[in-house]
Amino acid sequence: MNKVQSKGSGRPGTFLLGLGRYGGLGIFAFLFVFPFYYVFVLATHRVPFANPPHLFFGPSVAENFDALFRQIPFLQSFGNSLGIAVLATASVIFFCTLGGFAFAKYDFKGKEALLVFVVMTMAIPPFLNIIPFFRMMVAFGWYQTWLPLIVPGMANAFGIFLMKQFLEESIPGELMDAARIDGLNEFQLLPAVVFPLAKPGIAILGTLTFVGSWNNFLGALVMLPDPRNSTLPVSLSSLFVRSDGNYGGLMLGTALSILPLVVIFIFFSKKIIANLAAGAVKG
Amino acid sequence: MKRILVFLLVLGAALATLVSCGQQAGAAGDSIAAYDPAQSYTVSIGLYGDLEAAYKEVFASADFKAKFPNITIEYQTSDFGGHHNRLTTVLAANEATNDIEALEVGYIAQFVAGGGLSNLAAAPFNGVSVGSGLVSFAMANATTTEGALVAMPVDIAPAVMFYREDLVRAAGVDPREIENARNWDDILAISERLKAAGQIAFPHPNDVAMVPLSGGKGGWFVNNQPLEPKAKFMGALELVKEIRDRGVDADYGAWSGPWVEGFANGDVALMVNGAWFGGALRTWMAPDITDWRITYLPGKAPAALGGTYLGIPEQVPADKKAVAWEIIKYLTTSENAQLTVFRTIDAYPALVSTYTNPVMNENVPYFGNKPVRQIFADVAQSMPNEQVSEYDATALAIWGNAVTGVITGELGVEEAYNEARSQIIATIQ
Repeated sequence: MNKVQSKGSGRPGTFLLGLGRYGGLGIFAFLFVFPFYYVFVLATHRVPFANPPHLFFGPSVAENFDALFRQIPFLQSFGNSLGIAVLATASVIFFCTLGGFAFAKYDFKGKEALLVFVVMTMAIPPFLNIIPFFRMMVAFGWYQTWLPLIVPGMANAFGIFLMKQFLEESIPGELMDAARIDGLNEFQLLPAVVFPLAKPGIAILGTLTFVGSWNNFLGALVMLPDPRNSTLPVSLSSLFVRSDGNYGGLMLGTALSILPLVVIFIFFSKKIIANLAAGAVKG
Repeated sequence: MKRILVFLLVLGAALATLVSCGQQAGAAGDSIAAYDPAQSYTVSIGLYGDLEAAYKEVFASADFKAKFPNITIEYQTSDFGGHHNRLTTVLAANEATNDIEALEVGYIAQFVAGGGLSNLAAAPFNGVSVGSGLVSFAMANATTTEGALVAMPVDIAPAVMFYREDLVRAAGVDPREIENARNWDDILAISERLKAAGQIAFPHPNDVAMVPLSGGKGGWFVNNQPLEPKAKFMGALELVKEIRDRGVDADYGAWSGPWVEGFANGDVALMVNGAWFGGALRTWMAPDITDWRITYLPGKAPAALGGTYLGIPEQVPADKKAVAWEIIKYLTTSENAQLTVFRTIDAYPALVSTYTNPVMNENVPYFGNKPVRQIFADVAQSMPNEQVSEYDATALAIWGNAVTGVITGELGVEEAYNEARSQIIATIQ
């Protein structure tokens, strides 16, 4: 009886603790999930302006689809965005992993100075670069091509630094020595040792690069002026000011445009969280 | 370390060479080939917002096709901010652009400072003569103090007072009191009576902040002294302070949901805006409300809150400049183009001869079946001719901070004025 009573007396505290914990998590989950929900809600209304705001799905999905596909080449823009983001991500992963690996695992003359120089370039606000960047791209003959949105960022300072930090921790020198003893040369180390062990870091870098490339508005607006070559954010921006108030197509396009990012995050989330958790334990 | 320095020097030299090559390639000669009606042209035009919809109507018209069967138009449209950011970037880089670029009047001063647009006052354009039929204040707004014409006005936004007749009557205010208001004190007194009846007057003080400055396009400097005459600028700050202090605004941010809905659901009874706003009210913001009316600003004060200009970037190839100029001339000086744009997106014409067109004297059922378009014409023709200077954009940005400071209560009127004036002087010296 006493045991039962003591168990029973512990339950309210446990219950309240659980309630507080899940209540807190629920509030945070709501804060993060609600904007996504709200975008999809607005995508189903012809006119998103309302007071009080729309909180539930509306009846205008078909009308908004019609407006979206009639006003902009949505699929073409989607394809352009996807192509640029995939190529940018793949090239950034490859070159930044190489760069990071070199800084992490090799000693060479001027290494520290070069690393400082690479890191210092991160301190320059990207917006300050836009005019010289634009002039250079035109001079290279890359204007109106995908190249300005892919090539200049392939070996970017952030990616190299991120991979350097990650590879320093995750690839033991002994493992590399063992691979060398087994007959692998330095280039063979990359596919056999470096890339497999770098997967969590690659997941983070890949996700950040894909999201950044997908959302790159000003670069795409300036470098790809032809509407047939536009990326999705640029195409959607042409729907932004409408004298008839019909923003439904814009909201639907916005909702559809975030789907790939959600898919990417779901695909890589386990690796990202695992890596963050590992970093936290190591820290 | 030495090798790194050598590498950086070589890299810098290579970039400088590339940039100078780009400059040489982009620098077209000043001679502009004459427009040849027998030649086929493709002209690209950079636009924002709804302009593409309106211009497509113009270029599809029989009149345009008859005059220019040899011209094909390509569009690059973006949102307002994106368009002007792109334009700022490409013009600052002195590089490729569209053959014609649209810009909102608020950006004129920026391009006066930054350059990049052809001087349309010079031969062979002779824009001052071509634009003699356009409303003079709009031409003046695009003319620098040195006489350069950086763009041609295509539409304007003469400002008027919008009021909801049913709401003001319900508050015991005779609409004639609004129509006959002599100054802003009269409107503030009416606003307090609206408030006493449980009604909000204005959506936000910002909506009227530029009205005492005739819209803030030009007029920032007198004899190189900023914010003169002082009384005019102090009056603008005092107005926004009074609106906020008396509690007669709803504190709705522009283009937020409540702001837009406020014009349909009865939240607000008064608004100051340009002609285009009447079109937005009528077509989608409050199409079912039959009580919005239009009258002059207090004391029939003239102001303009917006307007579109068309310019030709300097880097456009010489053979394209001629045809681009033909298109601009058509859009700005042809009644067909001006009235088509007006019908399509309610952008008020800059061409004065359209003001006597029968459509401008028609009664507008939505606005109490009155010929309100004549009010716009009156305001447009009474606007002061203010030329822009290269420092206007700086003054406008600093002034905007002063207005915000007064509205939020962080700054007193005198303090805000003095701070703004000091900052402008410090920035331009």
